[in-house]
Amino acid sequence: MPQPWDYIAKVVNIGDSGCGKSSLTIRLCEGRFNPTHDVTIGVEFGSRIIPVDTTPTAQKIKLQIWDTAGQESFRAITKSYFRGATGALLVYDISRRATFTHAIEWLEELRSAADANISIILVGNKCDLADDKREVPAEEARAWAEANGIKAFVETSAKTGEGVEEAFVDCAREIYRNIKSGVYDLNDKSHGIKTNTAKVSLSMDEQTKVTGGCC
Amino acid sequence: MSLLGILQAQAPPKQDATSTIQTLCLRLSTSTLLEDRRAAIMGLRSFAREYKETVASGGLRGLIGTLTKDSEDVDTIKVVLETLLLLFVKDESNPESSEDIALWLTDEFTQKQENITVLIELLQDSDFYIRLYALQLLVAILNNRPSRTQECVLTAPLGISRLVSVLDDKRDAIRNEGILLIINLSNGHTDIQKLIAFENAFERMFSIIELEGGIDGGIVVQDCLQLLNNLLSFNVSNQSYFRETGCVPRLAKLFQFAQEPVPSYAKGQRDTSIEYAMRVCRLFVVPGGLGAAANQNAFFNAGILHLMLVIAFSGFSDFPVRAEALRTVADLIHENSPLQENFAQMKVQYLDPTILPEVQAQQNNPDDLCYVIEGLLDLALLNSSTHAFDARLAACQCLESYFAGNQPVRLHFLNHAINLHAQGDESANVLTCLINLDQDSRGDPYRVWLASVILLHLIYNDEEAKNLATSFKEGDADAGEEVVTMIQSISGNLVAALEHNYDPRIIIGYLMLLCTWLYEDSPAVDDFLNEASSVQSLVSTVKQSSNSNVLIQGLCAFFLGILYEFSHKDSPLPRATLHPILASRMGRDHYVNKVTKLRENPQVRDFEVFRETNHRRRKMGLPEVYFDHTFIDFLKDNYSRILRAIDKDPGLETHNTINGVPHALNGISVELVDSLKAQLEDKDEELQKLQTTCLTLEQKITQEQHESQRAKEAAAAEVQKANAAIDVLRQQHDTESRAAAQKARSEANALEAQIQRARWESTESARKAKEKADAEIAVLRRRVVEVESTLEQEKLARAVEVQRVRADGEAAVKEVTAKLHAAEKETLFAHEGLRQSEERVSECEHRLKASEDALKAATDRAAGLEATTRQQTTTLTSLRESLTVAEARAQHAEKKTQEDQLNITHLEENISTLQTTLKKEEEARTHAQGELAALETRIKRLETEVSEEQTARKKSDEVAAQSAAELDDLFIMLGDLEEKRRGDKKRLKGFGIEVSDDEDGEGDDDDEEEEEEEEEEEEEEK
Repeated sequence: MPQPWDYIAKVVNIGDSGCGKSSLTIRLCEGRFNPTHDVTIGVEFGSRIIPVDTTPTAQKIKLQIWDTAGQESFRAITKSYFRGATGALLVYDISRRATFTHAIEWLEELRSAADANISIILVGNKCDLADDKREVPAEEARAWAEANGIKAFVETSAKTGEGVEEAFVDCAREIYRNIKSGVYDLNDKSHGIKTNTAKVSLSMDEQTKVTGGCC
Repeated sequence: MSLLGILQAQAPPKQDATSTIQTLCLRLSTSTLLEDRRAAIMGLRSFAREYKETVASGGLRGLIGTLTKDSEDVDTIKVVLETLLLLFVKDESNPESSEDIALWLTDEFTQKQENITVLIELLQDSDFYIRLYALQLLVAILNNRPSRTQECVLTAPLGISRLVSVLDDKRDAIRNEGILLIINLSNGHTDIQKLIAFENAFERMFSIIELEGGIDGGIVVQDCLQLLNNLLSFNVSNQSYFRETGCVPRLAKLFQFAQEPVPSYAKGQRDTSIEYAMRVCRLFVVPGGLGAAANQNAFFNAGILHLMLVIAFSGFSDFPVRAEALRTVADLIHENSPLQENFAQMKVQYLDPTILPEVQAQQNNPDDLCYVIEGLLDLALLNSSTHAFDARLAACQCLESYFAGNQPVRLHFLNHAINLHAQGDESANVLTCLINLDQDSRGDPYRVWLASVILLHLIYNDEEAKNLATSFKEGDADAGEEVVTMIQSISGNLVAALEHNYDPRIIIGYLMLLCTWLYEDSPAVDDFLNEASSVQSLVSTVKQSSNSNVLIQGLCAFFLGILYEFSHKDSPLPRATLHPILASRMGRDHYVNKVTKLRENPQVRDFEVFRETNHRRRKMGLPEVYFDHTFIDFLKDNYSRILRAIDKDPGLETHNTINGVPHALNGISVELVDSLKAQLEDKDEELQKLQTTCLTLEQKITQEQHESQRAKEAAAAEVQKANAAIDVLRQQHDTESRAAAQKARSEANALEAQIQRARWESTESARKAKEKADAEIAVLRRRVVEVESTLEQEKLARAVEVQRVRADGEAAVKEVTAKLHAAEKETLFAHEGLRQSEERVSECEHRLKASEDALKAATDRAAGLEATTRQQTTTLTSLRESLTVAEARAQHAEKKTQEDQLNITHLEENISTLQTTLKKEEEARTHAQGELAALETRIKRLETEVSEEQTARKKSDEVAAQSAAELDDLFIMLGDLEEKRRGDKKRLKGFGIEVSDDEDGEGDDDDEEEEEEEEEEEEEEK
């Protein structure tokens, strides 16, 4: 059965409560914005297929997005979803400085649970509030990301949709680069990467030999 | 791959699955008609296997919501549950399925209490599938998030109760699923275990087991036993509930038919079930457990001990079952002396250890009986089958439990063994096995090993048993045989085993026994050191570099350390000789290295971790069991002491107290100990003496305290007395000084009075003198009258003379007035002097006041003294000192007062001098009177002059007679003269008073001056 994707990658959204993690996910997966979203209990789940470049024949990555609860009381539960994550969106709220200062804790927790090669993107959400309520300058966030080994930084607004697509596309491309450069052992499930054996077999004989034993 | 290709080719052009699923999900959440929703759910169910992720992400909430919303519609609920179960299933071949989906589903339930509650509510539905699926869902959820689910079930109203009631369901599938769920649910949660037990779970379990046909009931029975295991493990409350609700006999009933033969296909399951049941038994009697003793008795009364022994010694039982039975027996009698004695009296079926188990089963003869101890020894020592090892070890454990905490049993056992050995009895005997290292023993290394372990348990921490073993001797000296002790036999065997490289288990067995035996037992060490070559053999083993066994080398080194630690200067191989052998020939570092390696070896280090599991895994060859747990405890406890033993000087000894042999304390030379003992005795005596003196001293102290109290009081009294004395003195002084002052004042007054009198007298005398002078003047006037009468005669002749006379008179008057002036001045002086003297008197009074002040100061000081005396009443000695000081001060004060008195006497003296001066003054006054007399004489002289004048006048009378002629003229002149004379008279009158004053004053003034000067001098002297 043909599937419209080449790879599946697991991505987790993490960050303080109320940063807009769920709104980002809903914006990406369903293209809408709900200004009165309930607080997340445990985790939510959504997925979206993203082409890694703009060409029509581009390979597609299906992002399985695990949107975790930011509240402290769910920490024990959410942590078990970090395992096997290929990518992560570390979200903070640019209008609340505390959410940015907590980012380091989230990062440490993520790195202690997830794979070493995890692709992390720092996301400053609510950039529609940048004019009058900004508390975290973009430059500072970018510098912090670099200092902590995070390769990409974007500012987004789940409300207007600005930057949301880019955030996930950046994440998908980063993962794709890693796949291509052989960072992941595709037989090892712990990276959270799965290859569409049926489709890949047509284009990539090399991969088939390794992973195609199931049929 | 090709198959997939074919499928792909055959498949019709498909609708996009993802969008279909999304549509279905939307329909599920929005449709108002039940039929529509059901259709949507059925659609989702068909996608659930393949598109787990999509179905879950879109439909999970709706599916769960339906459980509540459409709970009446059994068909819908059934489909929903089926769909949810499909989502839980892990499908490796499907890339879209992931563990996270199942986890997410679990969290969706466990994070929302109402979802779990709904699932539990569904269990009330009698529909088979709904019940089953609900149970299966709960099992799946429980597996993913155990502790969270336990809490949710605990929170759900009647949660536990509803789950347990599922066990009554007549449909096996549901009941068995329920058992599995409760097994998982009860795992590790004490509260849930209690709640389940109170839902009559024990009763229900035994009912199910009986329904299933008892111990042969198969996997369900095993599950039931597993559940019992969960409920009872480390749960004392449930254990006593189990015991008190009469479940123990029902448990015992399981073992009653356990030794009956079963078809071979069912034997495996039955053995497993029996082992599970035995494990349940052992939960109650964990050595050292809280209710262990009560449980042991209850189990014994239910006959379980006997049943265990029957199973353990049944020819039909396999070795694993026999081993578990023996372990259960061991726990049942551990440290319970009535049961230990009962146990020894029990009889079991005799099994010939030399024949194979298969043959035993055929020869099963329940009537051939022997005592259980014999049976155990036969099994442990003589059954050389490798399969039997577990059972042999368990038999050894049984014996250990039989000895545990029961010295009479140990001594009886050891005596019995010695007797049998001496008699040359053929039955299994620990001593025989240890002493006779024959071909059979070498072929079955565990025979020596187990014999060593049994003897080790007999003598470990039991001096009496140890002495009994040490004193054992063999060989008849009279018959010319060499007499050897057991230690010598064993050490001989050990040396042989080392030299011939026997199985390490034999060597380790011997070494374990010797280490525990010789530890802290110098006589035993001496016994061993009698054979010096044994030490050489041990040293060379430690030094061996090729083909070395870490365990053996380490143990040899450890044993050498014990030998050295507990040897002494009188040992057959003295410490001084032994030390260089170890420290130089073997090498100190080598020793430390080997002992450390032994300690670090996993066999030693991790012994406790692998204790029960390690040896069961091995299929080929001998098990990897080298150590006994008691020995490992001993080794770990004493490791560091023995490791450091080699660094101890040979002069320092470590003897030990074993009945009547010279002993000493750890690490101290004997001489030192002796001298210390002597010193100690001396010290004791001294101490006693000191204690008695201490007692007397204490008495003294109390006496002295009393005394000091008294002294304090006395001192206070004295101080008071001193104060009183001081007061008295002060008062005296005051009165005295007041008296003195009064006296002085009165004297001064008297003086003043005298002065006044003197003045009065002087004025009086002056007045008298004036009167006299007046009288004289009157006389003179008379005479003048007379003269006038004569002058009438003389008239002219005498005019000149009269003039002269007048001039003379005037001169005399002038003189007198001058003198009068001087006298006036002198009187002024005298007044001045008087005033000064008065001042001096007041000054004198001031001084007096000053002296009074000094006295006051003195009393103040006395008060200060009193204060200090009070302060210094704290300690006796200081009190005394202060007392003397106080006394000294009091004396001082007395001195002061004496001084004051002196001053007063001084003052008195002054006063007396004052009086003398007064006398002098009086004298002076007499002097003045003298002068007055002189004045009077002068007046007399004046009179004489007047008389001379008269005579002269007489002469002039004669002249007058001659000049009578001229008399008439003279009368005229006399008239003139008379007029003048009257004026003169007037003038003279004034003069006359003045002259009298003048003459009185002088003498008084002089006297007073003198007196004042004297006073001044006196005061200066003061």
